[in-house]
Amino acid sequence: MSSEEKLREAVSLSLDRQTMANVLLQKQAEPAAALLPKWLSGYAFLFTMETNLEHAKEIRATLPASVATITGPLRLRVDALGDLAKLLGERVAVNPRQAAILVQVVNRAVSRGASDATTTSSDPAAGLHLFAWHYSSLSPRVELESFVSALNLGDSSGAVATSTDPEQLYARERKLLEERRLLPLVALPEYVGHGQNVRDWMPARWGEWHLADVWLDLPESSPAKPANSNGTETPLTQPPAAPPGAKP
Amino acid sequence: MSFRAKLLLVVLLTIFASVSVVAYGVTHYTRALFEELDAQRTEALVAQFNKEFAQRGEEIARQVENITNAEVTLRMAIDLERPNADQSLYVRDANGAAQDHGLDFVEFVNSDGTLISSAQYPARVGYKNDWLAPTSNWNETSAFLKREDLPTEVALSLSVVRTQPNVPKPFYIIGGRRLDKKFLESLVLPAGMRALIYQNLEPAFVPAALISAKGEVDQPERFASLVGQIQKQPHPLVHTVDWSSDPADAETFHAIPLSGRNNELLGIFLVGSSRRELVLLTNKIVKTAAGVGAGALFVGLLIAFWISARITKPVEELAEGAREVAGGRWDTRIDVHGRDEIGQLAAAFNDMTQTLAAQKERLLQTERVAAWRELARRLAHELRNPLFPMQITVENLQKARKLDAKQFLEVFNESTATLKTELANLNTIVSRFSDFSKMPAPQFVRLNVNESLRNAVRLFEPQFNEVGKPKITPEFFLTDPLTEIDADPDLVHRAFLNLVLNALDAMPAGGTLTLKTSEHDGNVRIEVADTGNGLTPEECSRLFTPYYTTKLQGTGLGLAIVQSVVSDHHGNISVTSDEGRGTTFRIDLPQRQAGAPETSREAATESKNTPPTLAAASD
Repeated sequence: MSSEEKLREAVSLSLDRQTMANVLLQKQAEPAAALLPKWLSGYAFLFTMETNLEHAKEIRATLPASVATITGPLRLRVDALGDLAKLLGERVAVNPRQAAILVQVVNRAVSRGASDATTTSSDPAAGLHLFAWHYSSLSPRVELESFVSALNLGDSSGAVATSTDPEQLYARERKLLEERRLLPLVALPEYVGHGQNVRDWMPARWGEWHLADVWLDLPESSPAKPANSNGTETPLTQPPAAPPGAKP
Repeated sequence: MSFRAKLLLVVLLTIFASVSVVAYGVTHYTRALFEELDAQRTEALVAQFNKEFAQRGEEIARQVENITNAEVTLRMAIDLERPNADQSLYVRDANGAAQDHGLDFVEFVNSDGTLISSAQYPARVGYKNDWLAPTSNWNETSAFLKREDLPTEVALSLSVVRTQPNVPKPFYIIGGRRLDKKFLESLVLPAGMRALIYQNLEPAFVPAALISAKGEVDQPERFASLVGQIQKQPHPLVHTVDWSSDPADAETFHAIPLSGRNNELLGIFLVGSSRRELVLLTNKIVKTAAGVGAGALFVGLLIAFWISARITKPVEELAEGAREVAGGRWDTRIDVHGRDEIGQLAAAFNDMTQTLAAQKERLLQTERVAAWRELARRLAHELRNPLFPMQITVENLQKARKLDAKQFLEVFNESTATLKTELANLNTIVSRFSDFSKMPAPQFVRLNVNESLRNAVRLFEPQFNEVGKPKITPEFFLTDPLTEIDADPDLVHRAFLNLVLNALDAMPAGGTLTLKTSEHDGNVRIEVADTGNGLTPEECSRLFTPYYTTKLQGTGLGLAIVQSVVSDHHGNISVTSDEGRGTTFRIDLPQRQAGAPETSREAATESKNTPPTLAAASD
């Protein structure tokens, strides 16, 4: 195992997803161990993400002392907008620091969406990259292919591109996660709120809006209530291939 | 250097030294006063810093206590006492509390040290703050310096810790404010002073950690050595920074270490004091001293010249008088000015010369009388020798009148012959004295001394090998070639004859006559030595005195003539003698005489046409 692979494993082991989801995000998110949520793939429960700080320290101890120190910290670029992304980014930086892996947060907000990863993953200076992934399809194959193509995580085999077999999809996702270039952190739901005077708001389960059936009850008003639409996952990726001279 | 110049120099140096000492003293005193004033100002500023530090701490403590006593904090503390309390509900509370109470840093910490909420570093929620538990009386503690780890930097804060008193288990509220340029802006600084803070949060010197009220500090690396020294030994230090080659740009910094709760060095408070005022003041003093010194030197020069002239004039007169006395004017007198020591010295000098002149006169008279007596004695002695036979002859002649004519004629003839002989002796004696009294002035020509010496010795050759007398052997050690000298050939020849004759008389039992010539220091040296019985020291001292002789038949004029000739040639004659081993006469004659013409000996000899003869020698 190379130093870079060890470093990726140590970073992965140091991340405390429970605290991110339950404390920082105040239980409005769930710790994520898979790229595709359970409601999308059906097999997400088969993945587990271990948090083991002591093991992370042990791995770090086997790495060269100059790796991820104050003179050359890992740079974590946070591309997502808002204080929430910044907070998550700082937490991602704090956790590896307990394992003597110094991570420096670099905030760089860009437009949201899957293209975030595409546009920023090529930055050679970024060692770590925090971004939000928005699921836009109900097909696990399409989403997985989107991950692979958007993040340049390797060749997308023809089987993955064409097959809808859950076992093949699971194997492909498992292979991606085992490389630890892509570390899912938390899964966040997307919310849509509307007033009580909005009538017949019946969004489809996966987010489609049918505005033709909606009407407003003007005389009355009511506080907004949230309605679950589809999910957003905030994964942590590492560039698939570090350019010459770049830090892992 | 003359006495007047020395006196002048001494007076000027004294004035210069006095002005320099006064200038140095004033500068030193001013510098000491300035340093004392600077120390007082620094002390006042440090006191102000401490006071501001305490006031800020009290203000922060009040704000933290307000947060502690707030209803929402109490509810939070009570809620978190419950098992399985949802800590996520309070993640953002610290941020709100910080904004409401004007604090930069606020953190809520559970009884087990778990960070519940952090205004400055929310991502650290859930981590332990183990340093809180060991202290039980946080509510009685004052503000302290604290290192704050922030997401992107490390900061220095003035913090206060309080615990919520209405819950069984401690619930910590930590509040603080950043110790930055705003804090420095609050300090009232005197003119020429400034305050800096170095946040010692990294092991190495970090230039950006040095801040002033205006933000970053120019050339922060100039403080690296000072910071390094305090990091090693956290004691107050004084350090001067020369910002440029101009000393007025220098700045003296009093560095005071700032420690945290555990005496760890967290910051350094630097009070800078510009040295411009001191340097300008010192320059002004130096310039003033230089001006005053120059004026004093000029005035001192005039006064010293006048004083030295007054003091040295009598001394110079004394020196001139002494030189005249040395030159032979024993009756020299000088003017007496005043009754001081110089005046007394002048009077004593006059008394001395008067006494010397009187003694000289008495000595001359005594010598003159002695010389006449000696001359009379010699004359009487010399004249008595022929007069006595003459008297006897005349008496015989008177007695012979009674004899017959034949016998009378025989006696008469014998008597007249004797009288003629004795009269001739008388004439010879008178001629010798006449010759000595008529020593002519020398006529200088170029003379070869070796040749003159050989000629003189050659005249005595018959006596060296005279039958029936002990043999005398002449030996020559002549330097050849020898530089010719300006000399009178006849006088020199006469002197050499007398020396050789004297040597022959000194060796009645035979011996060796040694003659040497050589050159010494521009002089030609002639040495005539015999192997006779030698002379006593007393005889040596009186040898050149006229009419003095150690011989039974001698006038005592020979060596006197030699000394007279040597003296007329500006030379020297000396004698050394060892009793029983012989006597050596040494003559040094200068090679050149003033005013002597470039004439050879032959020319001079031809002009004078007076060949040297043995009869010229006298003794």
